[in-house]
Amino acid sequence: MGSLKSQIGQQAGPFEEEISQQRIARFCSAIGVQQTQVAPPTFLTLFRKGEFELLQRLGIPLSRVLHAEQEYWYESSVQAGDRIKFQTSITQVLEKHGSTFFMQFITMETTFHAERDSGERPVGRAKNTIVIREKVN
Amino acid sequence: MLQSGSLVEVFEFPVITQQQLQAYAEASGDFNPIHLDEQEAKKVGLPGVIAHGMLSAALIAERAVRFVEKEAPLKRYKLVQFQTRFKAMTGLGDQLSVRGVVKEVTEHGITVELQAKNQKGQLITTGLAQFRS
Repeated sequence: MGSLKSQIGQQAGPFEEEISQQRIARFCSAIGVQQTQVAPPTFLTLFRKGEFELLQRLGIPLSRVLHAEQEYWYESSVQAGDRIKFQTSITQVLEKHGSTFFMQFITMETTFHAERDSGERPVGRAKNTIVIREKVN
Repeated sequence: MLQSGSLVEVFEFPVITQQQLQAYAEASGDFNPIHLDEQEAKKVGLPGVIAHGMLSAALIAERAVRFVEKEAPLKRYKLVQFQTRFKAMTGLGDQLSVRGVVKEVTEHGITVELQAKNQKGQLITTGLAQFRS
């Protein structure tokens, strides 16, 4: 795989997803915490459709992807009944060359809004850095 | 009272099982085969199935939120930022424990630094949680 630097700026979305109490409950159960009305902080990881689409567009198989770092900034919490709107873009690509490997750190940023009867509100944003490691001769 | 240096007590989570990774994949939508399929994981050079990094991040975030809720119930702190870094991998049969320390307390905010380690004491995931009242 060659350098992915030229992919900076690529975007995916906007996407929309309905949040049911059941989806929050399933996530709470999977991480082993008590079910709450409000979604747990890392629930935003459900909205990675844009990341997956960008990876596919770049021809990167999921099995090559390791997660290096994740950041979230929160403005409001996600609750059942929200419709989450989000879009993702590639904001940074860093390369690291070693004698036996070539690593690329790809950063993707996602912004989230929630919509319900009362109108639209910002939910926050996410910054995900993944690493793709390849062996070189 | 919470102050810089206050400790977030060690909390041990259950041993990681294939069943949990399957449940987490379904709940989160992350079906990366390295978390679910032994053969696929080995094909890309991993020792076996590894746990989702975000599963450990979820445990860390949960600990931070519960800690602040319990120790400062009147302040109505809200989580405004959470940063997590994946330092090492965990596999099936590993057990994570999370501990932490309060880094900073200001008039309107609190910052908690947390770590998830495996049963051998190896650092797996770090987390930094910032709250505002």
